[in-house]
Amino acid sequence: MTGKPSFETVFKLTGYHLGAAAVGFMLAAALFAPKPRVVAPVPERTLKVLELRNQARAAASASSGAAVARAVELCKALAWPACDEASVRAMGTGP
Amino acid sequence: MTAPPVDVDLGAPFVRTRRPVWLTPALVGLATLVLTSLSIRSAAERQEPILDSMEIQPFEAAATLAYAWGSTADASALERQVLALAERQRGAEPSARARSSSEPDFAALRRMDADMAKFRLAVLEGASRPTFERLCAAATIRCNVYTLDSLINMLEKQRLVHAAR
Repeated sequence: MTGKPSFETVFKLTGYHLGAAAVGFMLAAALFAPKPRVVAPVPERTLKVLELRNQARAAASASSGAAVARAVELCKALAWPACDEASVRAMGTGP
Repeated sequence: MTAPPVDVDLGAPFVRTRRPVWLTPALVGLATLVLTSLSIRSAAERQEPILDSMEIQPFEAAATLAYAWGSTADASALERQVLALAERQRGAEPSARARSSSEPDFAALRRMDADMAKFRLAVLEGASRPTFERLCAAATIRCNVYTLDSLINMLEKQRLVHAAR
């Protein structure tokens, strides 16, 4: 059988192939999509240490004020050995 | 009113074959499925060590501060947490060949994090010289008998809380 294909034939065949590619893509995405990561929650005490780090950094660049007071308060709440203002400021200058 | 027929110029006679009409779309769909699943898997494998390293970051930041200024209990607990996350195995690590040369080797960086956490724990626990030598021999970081003393000195100096008291 030979002959020229009609526009409808070309249109339909192109549609079938594009549709098949789309179905393949969707199936792969549905079947092989990575599972969401399960991340353990950060312990409360670690969060306090991280907050102290942030406040100490703020305190290091401030002459006085809320950041220093908050950093000292957090440091004392953690019962760390050196919680005076000078030490807290020094904490904020480290790595 | 109907549109005039469009004349498609193929350059060669159009020959209807006997193969079923669904065969080539099925092959195209299958090829797309395979290629997409392979690229998803490859991307997920490359991202895994990066996400692992990102997960360690807050613990490492907290551990660094606690090691320098915190109580021994807090510093030890956080270093252990860093060590546990750094040593966690999640399937096969991507090989050096699979990794692009422009990307950092996150798996190696995690092993270095684990080494440093082990050394810091040893300092906190006042470990003996043979313990440090054993850690040094097994370390990924550059460590040998000649550099071990300077490494221990550096780690002891990083524990600033002794100097502040």
